[in-house]
Amino acid sequence: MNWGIIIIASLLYLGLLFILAYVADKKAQNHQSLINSPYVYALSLAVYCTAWTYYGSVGRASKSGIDFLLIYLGPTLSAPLWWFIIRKIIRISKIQNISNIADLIATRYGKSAILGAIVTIVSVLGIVPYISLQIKAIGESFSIMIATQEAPIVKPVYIDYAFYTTIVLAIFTLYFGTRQLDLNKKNEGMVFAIAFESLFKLWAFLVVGGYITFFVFDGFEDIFSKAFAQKELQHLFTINTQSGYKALEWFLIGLASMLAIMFLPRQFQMLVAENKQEKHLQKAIWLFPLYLLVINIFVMPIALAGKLSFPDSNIDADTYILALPLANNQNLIALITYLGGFAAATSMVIVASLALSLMLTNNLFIPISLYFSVTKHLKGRQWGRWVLYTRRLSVVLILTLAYGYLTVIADAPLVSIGLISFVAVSQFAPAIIGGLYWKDATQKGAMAGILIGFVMWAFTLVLPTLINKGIFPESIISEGLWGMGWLKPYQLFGLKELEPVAHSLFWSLLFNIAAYTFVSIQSNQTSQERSQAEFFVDVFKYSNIYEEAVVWRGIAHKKDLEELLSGFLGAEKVKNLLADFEKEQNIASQSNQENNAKLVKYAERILASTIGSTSARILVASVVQEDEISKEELLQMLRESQELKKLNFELKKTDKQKNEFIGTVTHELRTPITSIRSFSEILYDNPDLDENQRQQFLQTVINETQRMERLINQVLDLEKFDSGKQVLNLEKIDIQTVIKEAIEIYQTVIQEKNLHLDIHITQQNIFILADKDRILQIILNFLSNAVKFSKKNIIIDSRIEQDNVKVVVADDGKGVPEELKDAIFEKFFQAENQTIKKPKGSGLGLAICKKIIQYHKGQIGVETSNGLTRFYFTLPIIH
Amino acid sequence: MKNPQKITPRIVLVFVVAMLLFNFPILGIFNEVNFLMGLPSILVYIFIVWALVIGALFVIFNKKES
Repeated sequence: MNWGIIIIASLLYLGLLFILAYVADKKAQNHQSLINSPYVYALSLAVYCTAWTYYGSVGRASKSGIDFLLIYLGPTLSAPLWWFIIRKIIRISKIQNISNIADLIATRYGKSAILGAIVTIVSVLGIVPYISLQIKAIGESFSIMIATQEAPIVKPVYIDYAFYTTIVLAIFTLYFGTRQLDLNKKNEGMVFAIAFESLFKLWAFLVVGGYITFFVFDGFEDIFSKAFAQKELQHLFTINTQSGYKALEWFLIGLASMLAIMFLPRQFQMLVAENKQEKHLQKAIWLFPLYLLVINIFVMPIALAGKLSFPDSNIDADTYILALPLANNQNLIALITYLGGFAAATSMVIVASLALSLMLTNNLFIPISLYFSVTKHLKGRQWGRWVLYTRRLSVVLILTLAYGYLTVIADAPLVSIGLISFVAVSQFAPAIIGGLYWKDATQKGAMAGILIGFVMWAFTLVLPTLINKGIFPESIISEGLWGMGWLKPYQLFGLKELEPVAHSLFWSLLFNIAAYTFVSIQSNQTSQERSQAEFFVDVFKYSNIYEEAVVWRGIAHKKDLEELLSGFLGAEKVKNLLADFEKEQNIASQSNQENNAKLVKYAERILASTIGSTSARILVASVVQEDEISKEELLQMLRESQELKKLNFELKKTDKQKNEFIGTVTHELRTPITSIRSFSEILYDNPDLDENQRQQFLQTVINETQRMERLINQVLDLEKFDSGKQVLNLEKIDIQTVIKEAIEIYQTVIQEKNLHLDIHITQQNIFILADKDRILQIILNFLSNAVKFSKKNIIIDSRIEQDNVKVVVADDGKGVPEELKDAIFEKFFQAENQTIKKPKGSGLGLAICKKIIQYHKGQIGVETSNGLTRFYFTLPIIH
Repeated sequence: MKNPQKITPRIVLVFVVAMLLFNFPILGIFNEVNFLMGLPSILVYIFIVWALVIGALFVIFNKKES
């Protein structure tokens, strides 16, 4: 194809990415987040699918069959575990301002700068080759697109093309990834662009897969049956189990991809750092595996189609997906495929280089510059700028390293370098997962595990690639290091049966876990470590008290902290932040010590959001004087702050209820008083009012006074119950006599209102131990409500249920809505619900009934059945 | 956010079952030169289990809590 067309298409595609990212960033500034959606979140996770998925899967499928699927089955198996592991990490990271894997591990183990640096170096060494692989894929796919019969592939061309693409990607990453200092703010533009890339590469893969399967061939069956007819392709139809250890190999490589999907720096960036809401994880857990399933549907058919179409040619199997449409002169489909692969590669390069650069900055360059006291030479806001420039330089450094490596690597197939990275990041798994569930894991243990795992990985996987390049002698592989037979990189300790990746993962993880647990058991934690361990493991318990938890002791001066923060954020902003903080803290109520601790923590948190928690710790520790806290004290402090929080909450709640109660009572009293006053004034001003009217007004005054009296009595009643001062006059009574008494009182009213009363009394002589007047009060209250609301029928019913008597007063009125069935027994329930038409009554009747029944150790409630509203109470009977 | 106490046992169950179905020896049962619906049986098996796992996860997170 004409190279001009391809370059224009690539530029248009990159331009579109810039526009999308720019729009998303602009929207975010106006508080319209485009990435605040579980779908965008799940799509952004598909940055997992790189050029390796695009080209490498097909290549691997055409060589060893179904094996390639493991790389995608692993993440599917891992997804349910996210509910435990990733949900926990997201919660911790949001609270402690963690933005990358190195931060996470270092923060868990006492904010250790050395541990952070180790993790960073392992990540960079493990991932940079993987990035350069993507750059290589971009260049190679380009050269395949422009290759013609006369001018086959020329190396310098693709190297050049890859070079310019890398520069564009660097600009993208710098612009959309390293503009803001605050790591808490999401890179909205970048995430949105990556989500788009995921959608695009999926679409492109389906287009080319569909084309090859249904147009070049005649559907799935056609490809598979044609391939099966060829003897040399039949081995691709099953998993090759010739090696007796296949089951273990299968498991180990699956395990590596399970761990990689969580702990690859770019995955962590998308899963945790760019996560907008914890609940988005719920959708991603099934949506992301679905994405993987769909993108893999056509891999096997394409691989077989390639084998069938180019039986004897020297076309690299990794490029079948491009070669097939090109060979059929379908230039448009080839171009779409090329752009899909381009999308897969670019998304990986962007996110991985950003993630690594943040890691390098927070865990290597800033601690180093602190160590060499660069701080002293920077004034004003220069610190913040220093951090930003370090991040940008790190992006450039990573991409330069990746590009440099490109000129070094041999023609290694895509998949193997990817798997080497997987094994590298798997080394973080014991320290991270252990750190989330095992409180006694120590910093020394984590360090030992990661270091030994790293050495094993380097020896069994990296060393052989260097030997291939001729840097080390061949004899190491065949005879072992220094001629020692048990130190062969591919057959360590004489283990011959596993293929290299599984072999490496087995030994490195085994030694890693062993060192991690053994050293953890043998070593002790500092108080800083202990407090982090407590917090990490019990994050769901502590997450809401984190700010209040005061796990710090020492001497701190506000002025020092203020100065420190100003270096990053500017003096003005820091003054405001601290003023807000103090206002919120209600300083007067706390001891000096408590204030100090909270202030130190607050300052550390602000700093951590720009330079990571380890550097923040170093900086804060440099301006304050700290005391050690013992393990027991630490637990005590955590427990206290938790209890305090609970207590505070309850106090506030009671306080609020009291206020509401007083408010309502006064409101209720004002209504009668207003009417009494106005009627009295009329009577006073008009001495010659006629007798009839006079009588009428006086009657109203008397009624209103009675209403007030009733209300006041009820309030006093309730108050007696509430304070526990109420004394019950308990005696043995027959519940039927009480019911009859109540009915007699209401007989006339019921007749006046033309209502029909039904009495179901199944059993005589049911005795209870109760205060007769109080029980009568309840039944009367129920009856008065029933009379008020009933349309035609009222039913009174009493029966024995187990050891209780249940008394029911039912009416056929409009009923009580389901959601209010508990609320109507609260004080002044009706006053709070303005939408419900206010019936007569104080709004205290049912609340008092509830109290009375509670005092009698019975139950009260309301239920609906057959269109009847049934108010009931139950009381224990005596035999 | 769903209630973790209800979700947790279900998720664990899906994980354990998926782990068993996607590994040997169960995987070995389908690892034969056979055709199902015109496709290699192992491939059909993996994709069906895969879809079922996704379906189970979908149901867990979309079930109405009573």
